[in-house]
Amino acid sequence: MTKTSEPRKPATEDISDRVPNLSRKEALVLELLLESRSQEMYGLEMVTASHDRLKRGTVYVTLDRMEDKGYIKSRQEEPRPDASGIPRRLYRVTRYGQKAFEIWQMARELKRMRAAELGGLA
Amino acid sequence: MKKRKRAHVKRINVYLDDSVFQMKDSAEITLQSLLKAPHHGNTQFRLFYGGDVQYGLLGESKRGRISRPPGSRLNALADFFCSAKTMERVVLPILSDLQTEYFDALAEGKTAKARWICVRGYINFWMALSVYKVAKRLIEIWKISRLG
Repeated sequence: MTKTSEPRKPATEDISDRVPNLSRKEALVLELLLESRSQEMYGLEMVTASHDRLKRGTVYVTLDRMEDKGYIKSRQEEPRPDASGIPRRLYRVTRYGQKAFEIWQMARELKRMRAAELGGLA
Repeated sequence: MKKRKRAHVKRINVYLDDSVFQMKDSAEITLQSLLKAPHHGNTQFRLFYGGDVQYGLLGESKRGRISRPPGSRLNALADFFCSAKTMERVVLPILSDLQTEYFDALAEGKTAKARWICVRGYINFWMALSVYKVAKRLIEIWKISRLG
C-alpha cells in the first residue's frame, strides 16, 4: 500500500500556524492598550489615539471579537454622580493578549529577517 | 429703520442623576431654583437626564422642550432585536460614545457640531450592527463549510 505524501509546507507557514493570528486592527488595539498609562481605555479614546486608523463604526465589533478570543477584557465604568447618559465601557489587555502580541511582533520580525536573507541570497 | 437688538441668550446645560425618581424631584427643585435666579430672563435651560428615560426642559422663553438625548430610541429598538451580548458589547458602547460627544459639544455651545455628532453616531450605529451581523453570518458559513 502506497502512502500518499502531502506536499511539504514551507517553513514560514509552519511558524505562522503556531503564532496567534492578529489582524492589523487587533494588533493596533493591543498596541494602544499596552501603551496607555492606565492600561485601560474607552473605545472612543482608542479611535482618537489611533488617528482614525480605527473607525468609530467598527471599533466595537473588533473589540467584541478580541474579547471572544481572550485578548482583552472589558468592564462597565462605574457610574459617577456627575456623569449623565449610558456608562462607558473600559477595555484592558489580558496576560494572554499581551503574550500573543509579543509573539506576533517577534514572528513578524522573524519573517521580515527571513525575507531579507532569502532576498539577499537570491 | 430701527434695527432690533437681539438679546444675548445664554444657554446652560444641566445634567442630572440617573434614577427616575430622583430625576423628577431634582428636576423640580433645579427648575424652580433656576427660574428664580435673577439672570434667568436671558437664559435658556436645557436639562438632560441620564439613563433610559429622559426629559429636557424649558427656558424662560417657553420654547424649551422635553427631549430625549440622542440614541434613546435606537437603544429601545436594539434592545428589542439584539441579544444581551450584542447590546452590552456593541450597541451600548456606541450610544454611550454618541451621548458623551453630543453632551460635550453642547456644553461647549457648539450646537451645529452636536447635530453632526448625532448624525454621525446614527450612521456608526447602523454600520456597526450591519458589520457585526455580516461578520457573524460569514463565520457561521465558514464553520459549516469546514464541517462539510
